Amino acid sequence: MKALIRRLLAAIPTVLIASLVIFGLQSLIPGGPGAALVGPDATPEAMDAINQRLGLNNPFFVRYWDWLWSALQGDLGRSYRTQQPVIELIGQRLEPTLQIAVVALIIAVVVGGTIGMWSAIRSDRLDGRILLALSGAGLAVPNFWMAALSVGFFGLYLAVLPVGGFVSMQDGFQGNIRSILMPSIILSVHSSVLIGLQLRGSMIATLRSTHVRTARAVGLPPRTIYFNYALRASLSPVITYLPLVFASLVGASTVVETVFNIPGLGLAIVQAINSRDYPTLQGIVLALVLAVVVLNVVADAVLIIVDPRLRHRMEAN
Amino acid sequence: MHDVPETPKTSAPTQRNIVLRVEGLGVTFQSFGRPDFEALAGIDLQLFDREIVGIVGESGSGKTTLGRCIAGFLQPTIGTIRARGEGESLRSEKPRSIGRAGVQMVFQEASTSLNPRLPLWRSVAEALTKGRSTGRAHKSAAVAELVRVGLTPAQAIKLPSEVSGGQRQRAGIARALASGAEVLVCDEAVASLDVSVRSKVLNLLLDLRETRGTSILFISHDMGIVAHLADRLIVMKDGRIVEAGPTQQVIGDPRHDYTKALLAAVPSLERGLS
Repeated sequence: MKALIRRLLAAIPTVLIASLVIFGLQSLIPGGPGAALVGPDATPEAMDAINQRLGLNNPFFVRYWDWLWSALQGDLGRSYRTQQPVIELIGQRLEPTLQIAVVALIIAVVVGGTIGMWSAIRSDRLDGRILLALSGAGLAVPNFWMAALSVGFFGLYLAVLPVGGFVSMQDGFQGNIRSILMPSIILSVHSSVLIGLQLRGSMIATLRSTHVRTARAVGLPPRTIYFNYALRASLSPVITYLPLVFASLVGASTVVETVFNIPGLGLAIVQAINSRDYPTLQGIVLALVLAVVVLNVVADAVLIIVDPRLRHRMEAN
Repeated sequence: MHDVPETPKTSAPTQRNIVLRVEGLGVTFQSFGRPDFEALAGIDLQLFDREIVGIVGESGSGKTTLGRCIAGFLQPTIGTIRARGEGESLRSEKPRSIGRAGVQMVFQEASTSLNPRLPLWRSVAEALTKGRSTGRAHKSAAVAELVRVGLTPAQAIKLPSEVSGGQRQRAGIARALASGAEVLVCDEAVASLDVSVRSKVLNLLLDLRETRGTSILFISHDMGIVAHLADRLIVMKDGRIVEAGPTQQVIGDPRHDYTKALLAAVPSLERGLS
């Protein structure tokens, strides 16, 4: 427990550096919020007035400190576009994104785990190689293209799933599942392959290790070898990788939410970038950074459960 | 074929049962774009129960390849290997992808052959039950096996990384015996241990031969250790057996120049002082 608290405290500098980068990136976006709000034909006076009102004329570090201090108190500012408090907007947009990302992560772990294990165990057989080749093909197909094809096939041709939109859990469980099924599956494809490849590499190395070969020579059955020995020993790199997969899923949700017109954080990021809505953009990205930091600590906790050597080492310390 | 027929020359083994028979064994490694490499050729040997046979030779002589074939870690190109299982008769190879019934290998570095995530008793319990049960029901039996090879119950519940090299080696031997092995193939099993621990492990092997009737193929480049331990010696060079016979005979009256050279290379205290 102490070790996990230490990890959380050690993450504070990471979050601070990330917040500085997030805040600094706005300077790199061409144009400014003034131009986005008053239009391209605005006079310099109008631009100056709006910059003055938004505090954009202040020096960079003054603006950063104001934003950070407010953020520490739970105030991420208001959207330039809608004047809605950003924290409230995140709350509203969180449900679809979180649902889709979590379901996609579960699918990716199950499918990726199966791909990884199968292709590792059968790495010298034809079916293992075919599975590996198919996985590579899955990685090569872009998300947006898969999304467009799925909308056409399942949504329009077969008409078994909605072509877009989001139904909240409160408005009906079945409708909710139907609305997130297709986006979640599409979102999970790349992550499944990446988890599968990660697990495959790790598991092939473990299966070739002396202790696994000796366990086989002792006469342990394949099920024990594959699950208790090879899979367990190969899980650590995959578990470490999962927070990054989650971050990439949320990143990829910008595309999927746009194609399926789902009002989640991904779509909010796209809208915020298009309208130079800095507070919204900074608030959402900061929330995602915090989520990844927390997930990293959770992954560390799971690693300690999976690997007794870490537990013993920590107890010794 | 090797020059010297590999038959026991002492009277004792003839009264015993054969636990391992190797006939016409050969291993050829093929690699694309390179000529084939003949690692072993024409190997014949027999191992009797309660017998310790030392296999010596310099690096690259094929002794480890022979040990790996016998333990079922490497598929020979030609020849047969038969180990005794239940009963008195030699049975043909059990179709396993790795390993051979009744034969287990003890490696130079036991830390690589034990599951680093399992306490020592669990590795032994799995071998005892062939993985059918990993529960605590077999803990006392597994701990007893470890105690028999000289570990304490407190050491039995530790992970491999938490005990010394000698203790890991004892755990490796206990696991091999727990799986029902009658034959241990020890490949440089004491090479990485310091001298005091080395003698304890060697004494353990001698003790196992007496108390459990275990037969041992002891592979080593150290002629001194093998001479101390083995009833018979097999000298290998370039994948072939060049000399074989009772230890005293091979050491006292070596016939092959290579054996003479190996014996001359053994460091002695007198020679060191002079």
